[in-house]
Order: sequence, then C-alpha cells, then structure tokens
Amino acid sequence: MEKKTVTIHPCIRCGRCIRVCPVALNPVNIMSTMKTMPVDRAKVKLLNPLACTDCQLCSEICPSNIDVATIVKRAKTIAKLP
Amino acid sequence: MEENKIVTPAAPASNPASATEPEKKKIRKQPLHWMLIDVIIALAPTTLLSYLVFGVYAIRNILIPVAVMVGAELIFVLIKNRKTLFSKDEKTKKSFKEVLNLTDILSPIISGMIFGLMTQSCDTNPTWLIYFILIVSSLFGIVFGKLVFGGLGRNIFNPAAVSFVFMLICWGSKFTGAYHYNAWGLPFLPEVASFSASATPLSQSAMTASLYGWENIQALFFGNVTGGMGESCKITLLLGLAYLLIRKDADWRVVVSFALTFLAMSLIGGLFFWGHDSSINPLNYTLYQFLSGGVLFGMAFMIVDPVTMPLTSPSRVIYGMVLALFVVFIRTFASAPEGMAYAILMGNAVGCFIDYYKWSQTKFTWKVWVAIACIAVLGLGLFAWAMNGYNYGTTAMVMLGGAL
Ligand code: SF4
Ligand code: SF4
Repeated sequence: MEKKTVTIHPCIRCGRCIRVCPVALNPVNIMSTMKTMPVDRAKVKLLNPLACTDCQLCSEICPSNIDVATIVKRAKTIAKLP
Repeated sequence: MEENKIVTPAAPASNPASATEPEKKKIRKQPLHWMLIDVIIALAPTTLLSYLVFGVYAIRNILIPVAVMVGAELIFVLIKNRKTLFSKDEKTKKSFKEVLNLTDILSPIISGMIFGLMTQSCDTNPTWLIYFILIVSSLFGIVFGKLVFGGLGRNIFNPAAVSFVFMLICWGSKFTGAYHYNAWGLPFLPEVASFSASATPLSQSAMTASLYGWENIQALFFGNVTGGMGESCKITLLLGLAYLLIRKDADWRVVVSFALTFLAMSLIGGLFFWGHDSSINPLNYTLYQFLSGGVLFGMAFMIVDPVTMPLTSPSRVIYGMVLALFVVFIRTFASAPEGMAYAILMGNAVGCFIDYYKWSQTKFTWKVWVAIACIAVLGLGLFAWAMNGYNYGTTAMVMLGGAL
C-alpha cells in the first residue's frame, strides 16, 4: 500500500471535531483529560466517551491531522474500568 | 519532534458501517496551513490599502513586527527541538529544516501583520523611538502572549492584542508627531474629515449632534479618518471577513452574536443620549459606534481566532455576547477611549471559564438558552442602570480610531 507522511500539529481548538460528532461529544476535552497523568477517571466518565460510535468523523475533519477518534477510543477503555 | 511525524496509509482507516454517506459528504477537510494562508489572504486588501494610504510608514509598521515575531518563533523552535537538533546520535539527529513546519512561520506572520495594522502611522517624539516601541512590543506580545504557553494552539491570549495593549500602556503618550495620511500624495484619496484632524485623534471631548452626522459616518466607512492604519477603511475589512466566513475559517456564530449584541447595546446607549439631547439620532449613534475605532477590525480578524476562543458552538455565542458587553462598557464608562483590545484580552480570559467541562454544552440545550438570556438581561440591566446615573457633562464621550 502507498504510504504518505502526515505532520501532526498541535490542536488549535477550532472545534470542528465537536461540531461534526454525531453524538455531541467533546473530543477536545477528552483528549486533554487523557493527557493528564494520572488520568482523572471520574472526569473521563463524566465526558461520556462510551457514547462514541467510532465513526472517525472527528479524525477526518481535524485540520491538525490529530487522530482524535483513537484517543477517544482509549478514553472509552478507561471509562469502562470499574 | 520525531513523535510528531507518523506514517499512515494514504486513505484513513474508517468504519464505513457507522458513518453514513451524507455525513461523510459534509466533511471538507482543511489543512492547518491553508487556514493560516486564508487569514493572510483576508488581510491582504487591508494591508495593500494601508500601503497606498500611509506609504512607507505602513511598510515600517508592518514589517518590523512581522520580522521580530518570526525571529522569536524560529528561536523558540530551535529551543523546543534542541534535543533532536544537537543530538550526538546520528540516527535521531535532524536538521533545522526538518523540524520546521510551515505553520511555525505563517502564524507569527499573521500576528505581526495584525499588530502592525493596529498601530498608527504617527511620528514619535523622538523619531527613533518608534522602532524601539515596535520591536519591544512585538517581542513582548509573541513571547508572553504565545510562546510561554507553548506555541501555536496553546496560547490563552491573542498575541497581537497583548502587543498592542503593552504598547498602549507603555508608550501611548509618545505618539505625538505628525500623522501621515496620504503619504504618497495620491490624488484619488479624499481629504481627512475635519472632525478628526486634531493632533490627538484618540478622543473628541464634545458630544454634539453634528458629530453623529451622516457625513462623518460616511467618512468613517470609507476610511478618511485618522487612527489605526488597518482600521480606517471598512470596505476592505468587510471583504476580509466575508472571505474568512466563506472559507469557514471564522466561526459565524461568534461574529453574529458579537455584532448583534454590540448593535443592540449601542442602540440602547443612543436612546439614552437621545433622551438627554433630542438632536442626537440614536441610529446614527449606533452606526458611529460600530464603524469608529477597531470594532470591525477586531471582529474580522481578532475575535475569530480559533485558538483563543471557547470550543463549542453555544460557548462561542456566549463569548461573542460577553465581548460585545465588555467593549460597550469600556467605551462608555471607562477612561480608555477605545475598548476593543482590552475587551479582547478580557474576553480571552473569560473564555476559559465558559469552556469549563462541567457546564459547557456541545448542543443548544435549554440550559444554554437560559444562560444566554441571563447574560443578556444582566448586561442590559447593568447598562441601563449605569446609563441612568451617567454624567453627561464632563467625560470624554466620543472616540475615533487610534487606539483599538
Ligand atoms: S469517532 Fe466518536 S468522538 Fe469522533 S466524531 Fe465519531 S462519535 Fe464523535
Ligand atoms: S478538529 Fe482537531 S484541531 Fe480542531 S479542535 Fe478538534 S482536535 Fe483540535
């Protein structure tokens, strides 16, 4: 398969991933929560990543080429923990 | 910055089952560097006009901040990537060209252009001081407004506004020399309107009905007034704003909510002045407030900066309203003749609170409408209450151009 290099820029908080999300999540907040160490699990649960339908729209629209959906997926795993 | 470069398949892996076709069609991906280039294109008519009107002074005031800001950003890139740049290991070592992105150059160019366009084409006393002012203010703005937060995308405050406010606070009184309108002597430029030809165009102390006349409003619209270079002609600003809105770089929500709130508040202020002196036309007063100074410039290029605004659509509507309230309050009651730059900084600070995850909403729910209604009622009530006890006699009321 043909490969191409993609440069990842920092999130510029344009809010496109939020507006495109069909279930009205806030992927930017989820991402910034996931960056903290250790991850605040109560906050992740409150942001409700379990509702994510894994549609990849947020990753596709992001002008900074951030793979937002994968980070939301990771947050999902954390939110599933007891 | 090696973790920033990843290799992906040419087509992004997607899950076709959950994203329906119409949803996919809505998406128009716009790479980051194109968003930045769009802003430069939108700024181009204003820059060109200020070059025609103010001549070499425009070049001086724009090029110095751009050069200083780009230089500061390049040094920042150097410091940020020092581990890979000066690595002893040949495998991980990278050249400066490899770690430099196009966006690292484009974003300080935009900040520098905006800051340069906000300054006046005045001489300073002494003459060389202007170079010092421009260099130090742009350095302060880019370092303390952006780079200390970690560069593009992480800043809280708009670097151009930080530069401008710093310049205004430190050297506001040094701009006392001649004002270079029509520096090339171009024949098609109109005369500077007489109502603002005073030595200090910042404030006009008399509140008279003739000030709000139709000729003055026309002069404000077509740009034959003194003041900030980019703020004079409103046609180019509207062109730039339209371009940004068409390309969807600017969020129309914040623009519309800001403009509507500002017009409504100004109309109410005009009604109060009309009640005091019936020769003042409230509609003219509203237009005068909207066209004077940096309101349109800030609306077109500064409040729409995505980095410094809140994230979600409802938060953006609230942000626009709060900004407009700040501008009107500062203009009407504070001693600063113009309020846009101060209001932008205050709004940036408030924006973070609007975005707090516990109360920010991603859709327009009833809570959002209640919050919007509360802010509108509170702002209007406070404004009406303050206008009731307004001292019409002594305060400098009307301002023109100059300070954003
Ligand atoms: S992948 Fe999840 S977070 Fe991203 S747009 Fe789809 S539903 Fe929303
Ligand atoms: S689309 Fe990308 S750049 Fe824009 S807010 Fe979402 S993550 Fe940030």
